[in-house]
Amino acid sequence: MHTLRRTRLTLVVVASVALLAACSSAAAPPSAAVSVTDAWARSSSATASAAAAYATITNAGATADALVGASSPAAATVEVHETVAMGSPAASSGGMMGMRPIARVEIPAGGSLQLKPGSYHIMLIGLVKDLAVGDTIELTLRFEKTGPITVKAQVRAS
Amino acid sequence: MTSPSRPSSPNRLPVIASVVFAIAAAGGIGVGLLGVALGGPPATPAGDGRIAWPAATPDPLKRPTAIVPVVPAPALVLTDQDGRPFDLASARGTPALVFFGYTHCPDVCPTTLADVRDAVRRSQVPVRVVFVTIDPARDDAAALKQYLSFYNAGFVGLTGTAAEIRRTADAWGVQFARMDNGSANGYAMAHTADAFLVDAAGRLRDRIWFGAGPDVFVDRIASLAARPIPGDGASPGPVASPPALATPAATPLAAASPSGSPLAAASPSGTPAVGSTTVLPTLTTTVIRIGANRLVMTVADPNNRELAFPDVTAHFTFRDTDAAAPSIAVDGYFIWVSVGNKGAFVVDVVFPVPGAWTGTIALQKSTGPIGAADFPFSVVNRGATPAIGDPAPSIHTPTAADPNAGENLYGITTDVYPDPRFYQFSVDQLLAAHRPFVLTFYSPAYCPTTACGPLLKNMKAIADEFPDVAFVHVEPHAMTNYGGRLMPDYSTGQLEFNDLAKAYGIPVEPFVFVVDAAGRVAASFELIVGSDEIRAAIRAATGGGA
Repeated sequence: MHTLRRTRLTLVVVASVALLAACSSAAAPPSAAVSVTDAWARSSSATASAAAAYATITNAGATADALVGASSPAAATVEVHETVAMGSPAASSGGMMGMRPIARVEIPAGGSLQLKPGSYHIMLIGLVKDLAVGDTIELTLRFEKTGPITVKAQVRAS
Repeated sequence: MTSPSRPSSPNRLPVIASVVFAIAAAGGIGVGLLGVALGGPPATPAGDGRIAWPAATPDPLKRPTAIVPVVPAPALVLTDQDGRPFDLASARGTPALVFFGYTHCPDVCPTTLADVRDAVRRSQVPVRVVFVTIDPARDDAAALKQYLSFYNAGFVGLTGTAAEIRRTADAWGVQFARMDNGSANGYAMAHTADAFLVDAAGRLRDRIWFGAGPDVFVDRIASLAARPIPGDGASPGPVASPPALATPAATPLAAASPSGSPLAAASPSGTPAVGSTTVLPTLTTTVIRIGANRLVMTVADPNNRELAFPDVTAHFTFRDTDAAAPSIAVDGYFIWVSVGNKGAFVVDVVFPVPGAWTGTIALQKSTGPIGAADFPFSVVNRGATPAIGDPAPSIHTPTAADPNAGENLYGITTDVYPDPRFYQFSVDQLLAAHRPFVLTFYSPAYCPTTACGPLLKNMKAIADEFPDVAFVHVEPHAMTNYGGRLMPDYSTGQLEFNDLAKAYGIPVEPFVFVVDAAGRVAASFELIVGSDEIRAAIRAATGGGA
């Protein structure tokens, strides 16, 4: 009985450590397949309807994973969006930049995905407060296989 | 930019309508590079189907996007964020950066605003920054003021009525379209994201691509002074070489034309006189073949002032370069491309032989001749589209009955306010039923030409007038149904025509076919078409009904 309880306790501790490791992937051990680095958000007034955050996602694992969502305590709603070039480039004014929400973006095994201006970005809708330069906000990216990864994103002017 | 668009190159769309010829036609280099910036040759589809941006240019500062020849900036007369009238023309003396966006824009606009904010801070030359909303429904003066003050309270934010904004954007060659994409942020606005650099004399000098970064802005502002304009005076007067796009070799016949000019020789009776205005014609029609044709031409002067008006008459003459056929003299007629804003002349002409032809357009007012110009073009044996009298190809076009149409029809059309009448019957059903119909190819959301907007409104009004005629709208591009909404399939990095458009061989959009009860093409209209022309064609095809 006593031994059994100790074993259970040990398992819980091991699981908690594993969970912690997964959550703090900015300092993730090399064994973590998917990692999120260089996360930053563009400074914004809280009155702006939405702000954008960016990061680099690297998949060092042997199987593909996919970004399927995001959340942050800094905003009421968080969506993954992609800015796309629209229209024919040979057309009179070249084309337009449009934007669409993305439900799932695959990150191939051994590949990476850069969330950057003019491309994929995390859209923070309904900011809780101003994003001031020097602040950091918490950003959680949800992956299909790896699960959630939470990182600190620096607020930068550009 | 080196040859007229031909049907064989479906992605080379001629510049038309109220797109600023100053930018588009004159600024061949600027336009070409815009293509590069927005998904032209270097932008390649990545493995996951998204657009990969071109790799960093070795020296982006040196990327040539200057507008050559220099032209006056288009009109920019709107209301600023304090509710005061603003006119860019009265703000001369300081260079200005003009770009378009909207305050609900989280990625593109803040990127440009941050670049510009940093550039203005570092620039040795003072520069006025003008942000024009393309979302006047949400961006009133107060919203703009709040949004811009976060970047620089000195930035000018402009708004206006929906009509004013559309007119302004058209004048600058800026496209925009609402995208109801289901985001919690509300609808998004797709828009041209380039910034325009206007010099202190009010001339459009450079077009800076999205994502260029602050260094490029600083460099381009500084180099305004370092890039003198040939024959530069204080005024933004007439400029060097004439703009010409669809008709690159167009030759304006100036007032001082020798009396033996081709115009004088071939002009219709009694109008050999050539006016004093340099006329720059743009032939927007790309399918020109043996037999009956309808050519559409827009005309402007070197200052990009519109020359097509209802009180102007246009006389056309056409000469076969090989002189195998006698020359043809015929009067054109005026149509509005955008009512009160931009006009064009249409000429119905029958070409007896194929090959190289030269046209001359001579414009005249009741007060006397305005000016004339030559334009070369080719006549082909058969175009890719069905000719007048040909059987209309039988295709299944999307209808509301299709399982993927969706409740609001967004699965088969990009029209934000789809009219169910246009998705009631498929073309093959109508042909089988021997019903006359009007088939329109264009994409309300993704049409790359400004001729589509007016057409969409006009076709719905025309459909009201002809209840016995079927109307069919078809999206001409390869699209994917994304969460119940159509998005272009960018697998090649750009818009591609789909099989339905290919079945009709259309080289551009919009394209309208009027088909009679016998299933034969009774009329077709490429790109620019007046509502009255469509009405007349329907009446002719249906034996005068309505």
